[in-house]
Amino acid sequence: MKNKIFSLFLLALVFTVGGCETFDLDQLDNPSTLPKEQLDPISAFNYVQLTLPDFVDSNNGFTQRAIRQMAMTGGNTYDNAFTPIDFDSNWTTAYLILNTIKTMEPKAIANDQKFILGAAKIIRCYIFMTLADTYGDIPYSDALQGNLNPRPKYDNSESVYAGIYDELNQAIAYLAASSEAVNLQPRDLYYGNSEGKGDTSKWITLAKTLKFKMLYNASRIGHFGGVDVNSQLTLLLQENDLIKTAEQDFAFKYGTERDVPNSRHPLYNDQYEFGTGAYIANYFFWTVSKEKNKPAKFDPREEFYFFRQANLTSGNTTSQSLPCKTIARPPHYNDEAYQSFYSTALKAPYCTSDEVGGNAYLGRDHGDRSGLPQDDGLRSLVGIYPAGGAIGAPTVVNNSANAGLKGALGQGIMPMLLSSYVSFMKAEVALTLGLGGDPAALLEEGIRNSVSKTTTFLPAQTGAPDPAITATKTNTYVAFVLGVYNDPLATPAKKLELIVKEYYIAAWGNGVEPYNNYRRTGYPSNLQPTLEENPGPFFYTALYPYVSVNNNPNVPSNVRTKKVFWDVSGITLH
Amino acid sequence: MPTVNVVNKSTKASTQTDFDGKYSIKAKAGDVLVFSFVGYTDTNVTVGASNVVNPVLKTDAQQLGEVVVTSQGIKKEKKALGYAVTTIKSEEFASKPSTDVVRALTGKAPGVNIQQTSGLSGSGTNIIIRGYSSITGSNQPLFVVDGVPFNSDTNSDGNFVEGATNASSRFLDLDPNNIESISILKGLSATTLYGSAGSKGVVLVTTKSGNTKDVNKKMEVSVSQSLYMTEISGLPDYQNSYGVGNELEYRTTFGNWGPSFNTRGEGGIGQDGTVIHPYSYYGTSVFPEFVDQRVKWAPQDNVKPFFRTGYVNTTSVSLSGRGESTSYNVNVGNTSDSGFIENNNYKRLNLSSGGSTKLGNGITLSTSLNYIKTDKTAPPTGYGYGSGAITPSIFATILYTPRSFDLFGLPYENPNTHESVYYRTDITNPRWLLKNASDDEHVRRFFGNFSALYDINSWSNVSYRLAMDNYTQAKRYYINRGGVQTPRGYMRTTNNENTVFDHTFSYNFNKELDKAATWNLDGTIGVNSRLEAYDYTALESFNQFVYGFQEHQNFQNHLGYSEKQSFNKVGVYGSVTLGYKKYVYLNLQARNDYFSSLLKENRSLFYPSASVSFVPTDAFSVLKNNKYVNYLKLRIGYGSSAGFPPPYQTNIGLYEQTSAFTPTVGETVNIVRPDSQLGNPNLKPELYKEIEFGLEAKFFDNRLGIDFSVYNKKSKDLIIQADLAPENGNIVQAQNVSEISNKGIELGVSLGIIVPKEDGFGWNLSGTFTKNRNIVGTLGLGVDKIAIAGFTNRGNFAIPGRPYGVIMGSSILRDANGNYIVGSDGNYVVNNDLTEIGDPNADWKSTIINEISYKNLTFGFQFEYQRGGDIYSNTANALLSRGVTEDTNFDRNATFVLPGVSANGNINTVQISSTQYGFNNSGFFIDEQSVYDATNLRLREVSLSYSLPKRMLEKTPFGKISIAVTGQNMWYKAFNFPKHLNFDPEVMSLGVGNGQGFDYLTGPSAKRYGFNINLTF
Repeated sequence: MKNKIFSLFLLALVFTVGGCETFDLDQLDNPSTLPKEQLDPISAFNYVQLTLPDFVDSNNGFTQRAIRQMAMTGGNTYDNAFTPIDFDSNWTTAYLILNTIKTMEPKAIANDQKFILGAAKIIRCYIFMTLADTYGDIPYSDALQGNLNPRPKYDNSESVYAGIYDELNQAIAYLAASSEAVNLQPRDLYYGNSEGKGDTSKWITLAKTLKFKMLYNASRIGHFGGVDVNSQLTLLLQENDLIKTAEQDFAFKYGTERDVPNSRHPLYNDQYEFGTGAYIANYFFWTVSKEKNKPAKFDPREEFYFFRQANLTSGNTTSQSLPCKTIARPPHYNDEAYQSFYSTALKAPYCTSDEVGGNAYLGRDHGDRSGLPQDDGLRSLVGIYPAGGAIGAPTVVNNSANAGLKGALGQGIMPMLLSSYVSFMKAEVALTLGLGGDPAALLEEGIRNSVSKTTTFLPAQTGAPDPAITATKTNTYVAFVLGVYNDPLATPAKKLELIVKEYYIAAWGNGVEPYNNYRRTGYPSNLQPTLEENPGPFFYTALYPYVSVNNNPNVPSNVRTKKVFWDVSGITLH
Repeated sequence: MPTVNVVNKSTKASTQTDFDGKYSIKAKAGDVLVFSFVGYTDTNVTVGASNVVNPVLKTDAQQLGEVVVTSQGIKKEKKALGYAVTTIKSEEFASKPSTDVVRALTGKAPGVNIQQTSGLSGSGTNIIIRGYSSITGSNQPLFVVDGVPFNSDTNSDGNFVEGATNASSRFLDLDPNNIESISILKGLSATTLYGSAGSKGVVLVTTKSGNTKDVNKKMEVSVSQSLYMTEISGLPDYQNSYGVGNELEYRTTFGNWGPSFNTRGEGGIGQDGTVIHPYSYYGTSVFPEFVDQRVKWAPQDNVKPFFRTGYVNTTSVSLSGRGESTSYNVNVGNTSDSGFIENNNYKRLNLSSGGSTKLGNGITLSTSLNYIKTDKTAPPTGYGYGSGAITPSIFATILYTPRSFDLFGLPYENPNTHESVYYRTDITNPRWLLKNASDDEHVRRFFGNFSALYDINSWSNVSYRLAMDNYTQAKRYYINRGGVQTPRGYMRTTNNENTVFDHTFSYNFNKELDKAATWNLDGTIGVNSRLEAYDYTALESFNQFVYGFQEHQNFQNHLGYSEKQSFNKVGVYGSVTLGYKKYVYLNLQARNDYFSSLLKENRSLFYPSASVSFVPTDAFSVLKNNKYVNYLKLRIGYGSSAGFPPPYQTNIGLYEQTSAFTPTVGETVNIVRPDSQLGNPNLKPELYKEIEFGLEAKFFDNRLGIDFSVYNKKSKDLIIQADLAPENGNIVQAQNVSEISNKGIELGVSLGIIVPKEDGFGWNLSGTFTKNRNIVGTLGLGVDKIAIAGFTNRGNFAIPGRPYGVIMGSSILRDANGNYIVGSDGNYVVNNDLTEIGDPNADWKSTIINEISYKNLTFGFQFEYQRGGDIYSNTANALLSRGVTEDTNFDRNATFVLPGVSANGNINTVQISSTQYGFNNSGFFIDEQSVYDATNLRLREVSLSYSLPKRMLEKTPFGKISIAVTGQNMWYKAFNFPKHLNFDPEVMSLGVGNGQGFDYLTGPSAKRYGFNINLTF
């Protein structure tokens, strides 16, 4: 009996000491993550707004290097400069944003949050058009279906264009009908006022401008899907609701917080914090500061664009700090094709932006993958525009004593579609299609908008020139450019190249637009060649990323010479 | 002889001999006493007039009734087992230089692949039994200590890039000196009863405190003390001809392709043989004394002083005894292990006690309780890529310190700010890092069990066992402000509480089915339920305020994170063994597991197993007492098991981040979005099946022993965290898509070359041979490769039809005929498409152990040989590309032409300089060039031990005194590496897990040597 009681006691113990706990078999949900039902469209749209500049930044990682805004140092030829894995982050970021938009839509519809629905759709379209411009054919119609279709097919870039053109109209319709209460509206990080309250009209203007940009990209081919470029362009120009003021500019505004969360411009983080950031391309330094063969700072944007940590002298540029100084200039750098657009006396830059003059910026040549010399304190950096960097007299800003504490503290912008860009686009359309006004006036408008944005996007900074001086210099600069444009000997091709070159300069900080322009027009034609004379074919499109190549059997083969549907120039790019 | 059973056949009275072999039993003249002992022939003695009966027992070649512990703690005669079990006695791992019990077993069990992550004290250890059978799941075996599952996870904060290899594997908490024996169950037919947890093999550890076998003396105390030294196993042979620079020019590069040390007046070297002071560039505000100074252009001794000799001090005391029907023991172990580098220390305190008592009512209660305290410090060991490291890493740059840089004669910190100073600003001075960063780990662990057993009758019982294993692992990682990677300092503390609760209720029986004992049936049926949970919190702090003070309040910004997880597994199991005449045994087992984190329709899995053991030497009279064949056993087994995914894979919650962005106007922005992982509602358990066949035999008076197994294991429905094409909206999903197979042979041999006679000379040779071949089957629809470890552009991959974990990376571009293509610059052209560049799996491994004894002196040495197995080595490519070793001490004025063809197919004729040749073509730019065959031979262990003869101890209180001198890893040779690297490929820079074959400068191997004293009284 005693034994039985003891046994029962034991049995009771089994079930009391956690017996039941260990038998519970329904534990499917992770207690440490929020349930799916709690996806709030406003917070999700916050993610979309914040991550969009990351998408552009990762795209810049490729396009700015292809187009010589930043120096391509990952390889000495196009074969080894970029590999599929380099595109993973851009692609993944894009589709995670797109999936967030798609996932929150049902709830936003249920809540009647039309502002979010419209604005998110515009961002969706911006991402899809940028993907199509960068990669060509991309997954679009089948994309974002999760378990229903883990391996979506790729759509032709033209049908992607057609699809998103239509979606932009839907976005406009959403925004136009938006009448929800303020608490259902998003915090607008792009166009919001100091309380974050947004402005649907600016988003509508953005949507129309994106339509304009798509038509402009396709202007050489005349149509996409059922969309006729000329008639649509004409309509949009007549309607005259395209981005034209700085308030309408589509750009992400960074903050100054250094850690937790680091809210600064990525280039500022890169160049002002650790000492060894990415090199800016010597060609871009040269084309802004030297190519016009004018005195230093002839372009009023120069000192806003770039910051020199030290004037280069024969004393500080040793074989230690500037090894290319002791290596002979490659002969093909002397080809006429690469000389200055304005002055045949000026050959392509080599080693620095100005190897002979004292006005040199220290960057890197295209395809220079050699090891890193001791030039931390010599490298020229991005300036106040667009990264919120420093301006003024040369001083070392990126050593650890100064790290992250110099200039405008990273309070830069990620420019995506600015009023100056629109002016240059209009100028080209006017010149090539004869639509919508005087190309020279639009060219001037573009330059003035660009200078104004560059010099005034932040309140006046210590070390910046007096606005009156900038105004005078702007006039001189405009006069010079228009002089070249109006030169009686200037062919339409030369005029177009001039417009595209000015657009190229104005697009500092954004690689997407100049990369499109280069492929569409072949301009600027004198981009610095790679140090290696035979680098292989240029990237007519980016490589499909490793994550897709490896996981989606529908991915087209990865060749650099495949083209976006609108790329019909036939020019061999370098 | 102790514990001999003595039975009086007439009265049925019985007793056992005591420790000294003495016994007393009531008997009258004419009674027959039967003396029996496992492994000896029963001896019958008829009692005569004398009161003393001292028979001599003869060993029984046939019987060899070795008893082994099998699953669920069931003890069985080894000959009844239809599967392979390797038992390792405490002499093999106790009192050894290695404080990690598993590491001490390296090479000792066939089919068990043990690999250290590095030679640092307290670093993790990888253990794989019979190959990798899961693709992205864990392949580490289950540890069972005293019958209870024991958490052996390697918990690292972050990944290998951040230095995860530093993390300890939690079996390190076991004190080797407190372990009685270890059994390794390799096949699935052996482990079925453990359920899914045992599907990768089971390591059964019996501690002294959990050992409930009778203790023979009232009280016994044993003390063991060892002192070992630990050193880096080998340093490269450095060249003393060329200093830092490029193209024979002095430059402050990483590489040593500068001028020769004899250069004068050119290449940046002054006429007086000096160069500008490497610190003069800091200017007058930092080092005014170095401005405009020059230093001699000469080689320096700048690597060796970085390393030290560490000391491993182990003290262990154990006490055991028994009372009337109670046995007890208490063990204390203290280990202090300091590594071969400053700030690498590992301390462990083990306290344990156990006991068992038999109550009058037929209930036996037993318990075992253990408390462990470990404290480890180590410098951070992040991934080193050969030009520094992304996260702080102590070994990332030290080995290729420029030959001409006087690391130990110059300051390592800025005297004003404590910042790191170096000959260039983009590398942290390794000496600075040693003083200013640490990765610490503190564990407080309690585990133990309580069990009650009730004998229902003479042949059956019921038992209940409650076991728990609870530990808290607190980690602290910090780097002071002033380094290169985190110039303003960083600190992270994490706390991981891990809990296992395990209940087992079982009914056990063992019955002779007929009077003649021809048929015997034994078995068990039971229910086992287990809860495994962890609760993790982390706090990261950024921007140190006051230099050198590591508390969170001394940092400006903070980020917190927490996570908890819990799952249950319930299993119902049964096992029966039917024995016929003690020479044929049939064993049937089955278990059904239920897992709490899968959908109801997928959460249950039933898996059976069966095995047969047959002992011909007991079955056929012709083989009995045979001179040549002493013992023969054949076995065949089929087993199956399950693998469950980590919890919460079917339904994925949201990703959120607070304080994602701070705009210049307005409040900080918080975000939420769908997770990037896609849930898989159809996920089900993995299924493993294995068939094995074995032969165990003894020949020639037991001089030659063989234990041989072959197996074929197939795993299907393997769960992988499959990468998804992001365009579906998600980037990863758990999927049951893959298959893998492992086939292998395991051989253990022992050979008595000279059998010792009466304290004479003896020589015993034993060895193991292991060969496992695994092949990845399908990976699922359309997937031709999966990255399983490392980087996705250079790492271990699963590829259908190829061995698991082949190394993929960039290769040299080949033309259609397979010739290397050389670019117009004279260097090889890289092919960035992923190419298979190596197979890290060894072709085979073998161990040979020699034991030579003379009287009380024993000399032993263990050689291990690994054939094949590739490793990608950043140690090799960094040292070669930087030109610091003797391997690169060639004439640097010469030019080189790489063998290969140009793009147009002509033989390459482009001449390149020595810098180009060495720097560009040693694996820095093309992964293929960094892959080496890791075939190696090593002297794993050498020892000389002496136990004092009994007669010398008679007048002392000691029962036993022995002294041993032991060395581990005293010599090795990796045949296919450049000679002067002296590289030991026995490192794993990807850490414990499924990655293998990568050396990322995360820590070299060590050698250890010293002595040990054992006292028993």
